[in-house]
Amino acid sequence: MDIVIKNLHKSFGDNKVLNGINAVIKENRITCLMGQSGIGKTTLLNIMLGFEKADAGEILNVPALKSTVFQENRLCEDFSVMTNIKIVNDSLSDETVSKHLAAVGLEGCEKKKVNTLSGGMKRRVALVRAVLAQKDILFLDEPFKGLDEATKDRVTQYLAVNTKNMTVVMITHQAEEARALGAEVIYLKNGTLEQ
Amino acid sequence: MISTMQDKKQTTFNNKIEKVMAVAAALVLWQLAAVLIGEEILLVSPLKVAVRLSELVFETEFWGAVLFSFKRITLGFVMAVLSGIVLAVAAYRFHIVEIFLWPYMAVIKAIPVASFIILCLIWLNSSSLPVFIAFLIVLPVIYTNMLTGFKSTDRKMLEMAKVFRLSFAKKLVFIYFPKLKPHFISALSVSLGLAWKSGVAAEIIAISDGSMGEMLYNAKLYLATADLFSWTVTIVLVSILFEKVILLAVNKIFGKLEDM
Repeated sequence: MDIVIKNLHKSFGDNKVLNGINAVIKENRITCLMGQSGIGKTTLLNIMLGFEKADAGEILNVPALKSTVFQENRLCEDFSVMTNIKIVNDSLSDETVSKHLAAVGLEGCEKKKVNTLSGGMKRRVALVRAVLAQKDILFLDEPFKGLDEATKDRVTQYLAVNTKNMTVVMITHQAEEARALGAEVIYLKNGTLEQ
Repeated sequence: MISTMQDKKQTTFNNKIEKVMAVAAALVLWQLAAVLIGEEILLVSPLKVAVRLSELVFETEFWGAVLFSFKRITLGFVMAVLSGIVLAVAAYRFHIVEIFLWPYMAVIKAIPVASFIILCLIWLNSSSLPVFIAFLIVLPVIYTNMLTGFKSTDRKMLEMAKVFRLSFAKKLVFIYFPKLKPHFISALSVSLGLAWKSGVAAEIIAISDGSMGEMLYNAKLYLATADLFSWTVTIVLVSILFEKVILLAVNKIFGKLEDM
């Protein structure tokens, strides 16, 4: 079912972030939330994830089983790449994880501890973890942050292949990222939406 | 990377050499002071202590006393560690528990050990007193450190656990343990020494029959300074050995968890 956002309001003190937002996020599609920094994209994502409560309005049909790439990686730094990915899905085999890691250019990193990886490598681990969690919806908050152009292309390709028939909500600042994924785009402007 | 590891090994080796040299210098200073004073009853030489200790280790009474104190102080210590962890979990989970426990922990930390020992002598026999005193002194250290560890857990990591629906066991191993580890190890390191100091102090004041504390008390009573120093050295050695073994075991357990 499509996710329906109805007249959503959210303020932090005097700062009105979301001002009566209405939108439809289509099922089994990639939808990109775009807009200037601080416009409320992450707030909207946090409300959908259940971390924030809206002041008014509602969001209907958000699946219970969610997966996400946070703005920060939020990985278990003292543990291996393999462990970090397998903790979110007990049914994963080592082979599957290795295959996905190789697809984003992290072949041979399975046993490396996350705290020994670079920022870009950690970002890709967070992305593979979110994809392999195999939930009903995938939220991505600037998933390409810290990646060079070549790696970004590779990861875009990886996402396009592995999120087919999945509902994905992605925050991005780059229109070409949305285009490369064939995503529907929603613009946030002055606390309202343009779909 | 290899060079860094070699540098680290060299630094550790140098630190050990420095420590050995410092101990040797202290022993020389002690020996000189003993020779200058020239009164064994006031200050016995380290050589005499070593000789007396080498005699004591062949006496069954020596090992009986070591075992007696070791069992009781370890029991008090283990009970305190377990209780400290349970109470810290409860206080982290329910703020009211933290508030309710605060005055008890503050009082235990503030009151001198000797006051506790004398007070508890009224209620407990001399055999179980070291257990209770070691427990009482270690409990607030473990509790406070563990609670600080729990509170330092990254809220954002807990959000991650919530989104991915991680089980409690996974949260414990992958989110809480890494944060708790430094606090737990530092608490253990401090409290292991405290347990021995307070436990033996309790044995001395209570004159616990067959304990290391009683041996110390008797040595003081009969002005057997060599015995007094030998027993003190024994207590320090047992305490250090106990600390090393416990910390090694705990580090191994955490290491195994991180290798998962």
